Amino acid sequence: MRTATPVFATALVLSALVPSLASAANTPSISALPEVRLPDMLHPKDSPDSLLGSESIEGLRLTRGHRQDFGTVQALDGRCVSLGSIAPGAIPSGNGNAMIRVSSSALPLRSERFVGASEGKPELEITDGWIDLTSNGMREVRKTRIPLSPIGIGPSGYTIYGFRSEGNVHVVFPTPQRFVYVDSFGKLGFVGCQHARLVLDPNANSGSLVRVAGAVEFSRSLPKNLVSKRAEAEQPKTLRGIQATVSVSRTKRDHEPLLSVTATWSEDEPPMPVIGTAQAVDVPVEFNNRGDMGDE
Amino acid sequence: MRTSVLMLGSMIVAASALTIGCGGAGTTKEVRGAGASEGGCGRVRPGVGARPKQVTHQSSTVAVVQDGKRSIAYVADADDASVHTVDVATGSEIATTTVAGTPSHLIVLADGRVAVGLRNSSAVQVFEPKASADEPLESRCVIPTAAEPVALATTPDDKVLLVSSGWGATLGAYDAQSLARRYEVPLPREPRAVVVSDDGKRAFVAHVVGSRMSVVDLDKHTAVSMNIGGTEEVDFGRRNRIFGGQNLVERRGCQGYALAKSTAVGGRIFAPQVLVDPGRTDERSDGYGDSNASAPEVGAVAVIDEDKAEPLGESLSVEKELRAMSGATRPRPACLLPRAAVVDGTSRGLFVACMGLDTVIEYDAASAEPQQSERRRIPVAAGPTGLAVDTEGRRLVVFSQFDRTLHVIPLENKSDVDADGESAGMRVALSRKAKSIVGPDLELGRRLFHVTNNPLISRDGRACASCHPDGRDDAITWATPDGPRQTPMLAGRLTQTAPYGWQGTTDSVESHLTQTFARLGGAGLDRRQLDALIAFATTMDAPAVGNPNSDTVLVNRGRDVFHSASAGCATCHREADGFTDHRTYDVKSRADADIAALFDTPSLKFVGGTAPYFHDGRYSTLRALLLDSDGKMGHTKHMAQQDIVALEAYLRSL
Repeated sequence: MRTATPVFATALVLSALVPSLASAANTPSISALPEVRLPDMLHPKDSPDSLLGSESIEGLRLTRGHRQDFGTVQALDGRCVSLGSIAPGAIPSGNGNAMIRVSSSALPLRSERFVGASEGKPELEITDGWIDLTSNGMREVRKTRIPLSPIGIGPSGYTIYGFRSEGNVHVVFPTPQRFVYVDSFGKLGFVGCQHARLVLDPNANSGSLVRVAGAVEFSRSLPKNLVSKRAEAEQPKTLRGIQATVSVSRTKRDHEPLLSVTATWSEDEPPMPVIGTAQAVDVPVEFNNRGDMGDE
Repeated sequence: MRTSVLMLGSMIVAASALTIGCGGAGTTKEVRGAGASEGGCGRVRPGVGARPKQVTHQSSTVAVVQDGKRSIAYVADADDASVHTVDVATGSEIATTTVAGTPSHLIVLADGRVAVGLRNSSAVQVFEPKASADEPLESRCVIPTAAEPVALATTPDDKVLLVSSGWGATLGAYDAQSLARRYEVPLPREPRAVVVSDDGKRAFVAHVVGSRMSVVDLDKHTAVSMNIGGTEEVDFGRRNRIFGGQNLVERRGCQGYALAKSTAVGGRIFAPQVLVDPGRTDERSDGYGDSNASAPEVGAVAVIDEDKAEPLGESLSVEKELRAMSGATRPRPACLLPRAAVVDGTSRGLFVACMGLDTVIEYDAASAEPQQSERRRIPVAAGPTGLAVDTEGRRLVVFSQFDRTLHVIPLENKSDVDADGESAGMRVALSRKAKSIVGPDLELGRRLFHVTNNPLISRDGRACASCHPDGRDDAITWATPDGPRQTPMLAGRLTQTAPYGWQGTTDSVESHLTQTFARLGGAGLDRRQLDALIAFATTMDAPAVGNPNSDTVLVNRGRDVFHSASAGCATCHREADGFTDHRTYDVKSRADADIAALFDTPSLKFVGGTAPYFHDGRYSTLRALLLDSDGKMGHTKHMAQQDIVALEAYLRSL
């Protein structure tokens, strides 16, 4: 059984939002974020008696290793997957695969896929279903689409998305390369899929903050006097470290918690590649922080 | 450009009944007498000349004013003992005003007058603008303050000028019109920047050391300390650091020079600082601090809820370092010497000037933890000490003292998001008198002393100035290979006081520096650099000693006690030898982690402002040291209370 339930709720269109994080006056207020009702994860008490081994879910692959009492679900195409009941405070997404012990009954399963702007309108596709390790079957129950609105754009067009749900602020960080995250409880982890959805509590007395760090493609604007046009066109794409932070905090005077969204390079620019025929230039030698004192 | 050279030294009037408070906070010292000079401090030509574009109510080394249609920057140049007037649109220096001392900060009062703190003269000089900003400012008066006025602020109603005095450890309040002294509140060590709450009831004062911010009740004239130290959750727990079931390491706040606030993010005060983990002092380490733990010093920006006078917890939490884990091979260095801060209300950007890094970092002022919410980095000239925002002109103005350069940076530069690292804007080299205060070698030495993230100095980014802010001490006891070691003050204390180190094992500054670089994991400097650094370190400005308001009779009595045979102080702390005898003794102070029991007799120069005391910082106050060390190095138990008081007063006068 498959049901597709698009969630449009009270999504506000923030089309004119945040052309640049350099001007955070453009960062939306929390109340301006779209309110979304996230579907609850399936409850084990509702599990079907059994699934057929021929049942499957698109984008998920179940494998059994040499330990027959465990099974591993591998999410494909950048999907994230979670198995079993998720305890409050646990990371709702971020894993590219999940392992679980064989159980006598089917267990809840959730898969999330970040659909980027390149595929149309950005959204989060959430698939809920069951997994039965006795038969190796998986059954999709429902698919929910959460429209995503950008809350900030950083270097190289790195875009962060957010929405509200049941009093919390959900932040979706695309994680195209190897990313790590710290959730609002201070727990650190690696992201194994192509997004991380982290949750902020706007009512936390001391503020609430989530961070990710990773690398994105970086195109350098080479000085025209250094590199020919042809060489510039030939410049290979390179990766550069980026760090993004989203927080909510409130002082006594704030009518509502302030939302902060930033994304910036976390490492210095990669060394200049040697491409084509560079034109010699005099680079002024100054006192620097790289271990030498120049011509002081 | 016109330059005026005013002979104003004689204008510094004798200080009135000012008593410098030290250490504890709380009581008020009402001070009588007006400090204004005969001519008065008010305006002679009201309404004439440049006026503030918007009254910021707090001081910096640079301020932006409006002169007709021009935006003008006043710049307090400590090296040149002058205030430069610069047209920020054209970059032209249009006037220079000589001041009667070494300027620290300046503030533009609501009526256009400019009040300048004179750090080495313990005074504030008030100037009035002339009809044209192309002419130098005209001095109106010089009024005495407690030792070393370092920052100024005005109340929202513009009626009161507040002056924080670094060495004097006070907040003085003056009538903003007449500059008559109203009252004075003792503060803990090394106060710096001051901001006043929007309701005018409280002043918040940053402190360079002590992990604190002072909150001063401007009605009751009392102060309380707010702890702005941080905590760090550690994964691989260090023993005996566990509180509340969590593995938390306490970090001490340091380098609190700057404060910023803005109506755009009302109710928030921003305090850039550094959070320090000095390591476990009951164990020996292999350097200064625990090299097996995370960075001993990390940058931070404390966010204070102005109305609750409490820090926002998240802003004091040391976050896990993600950059290395995410594969970043060239992680951006931290801001370890924050020296100035300002908020641009339009963009909600918090700008922090980072000395040593020679960079201004923009953070999101709305963040729960601005340190983790960096927007961009702007390289500036060496030694940034001041920031101002030209709101209407959408410009950030940065003064870099070491390069004596004013940097005017457009705030709306969209390309900065992708292309930070490039120096946008205009650099203005300020004029210099023929006889500069700082020569080339000292300039190099000063840069070396402050440079952060230089592998020649340290492995972890620390600078000399990290532990020795302003050449003084960080009031922190560090875990070292020799045991616990309290940072000693350097400024004014290096000559005549060899051998160096708490155990007196190095007989020259050079050999001690070599040992220090090794402990910091630095590769060390070459000959020229080392000579320059030593030249700077041995000539750093000492605090202004001799408080004209102190009780001379009491101090003289204390001197007699000090030199008496029964007290025995002068036996080792010989006045003629810089208050040391250059020898080591066992004064029964060996701590468990100490490798030896013999300790060098420390100089007592400036001892009143260098708490805590002893090699392991075991005595938090001078009084505690005098009473509790009885019999171990001199005798105080037999003394009358008044003799103890007198001895302490004498020590504070050194």
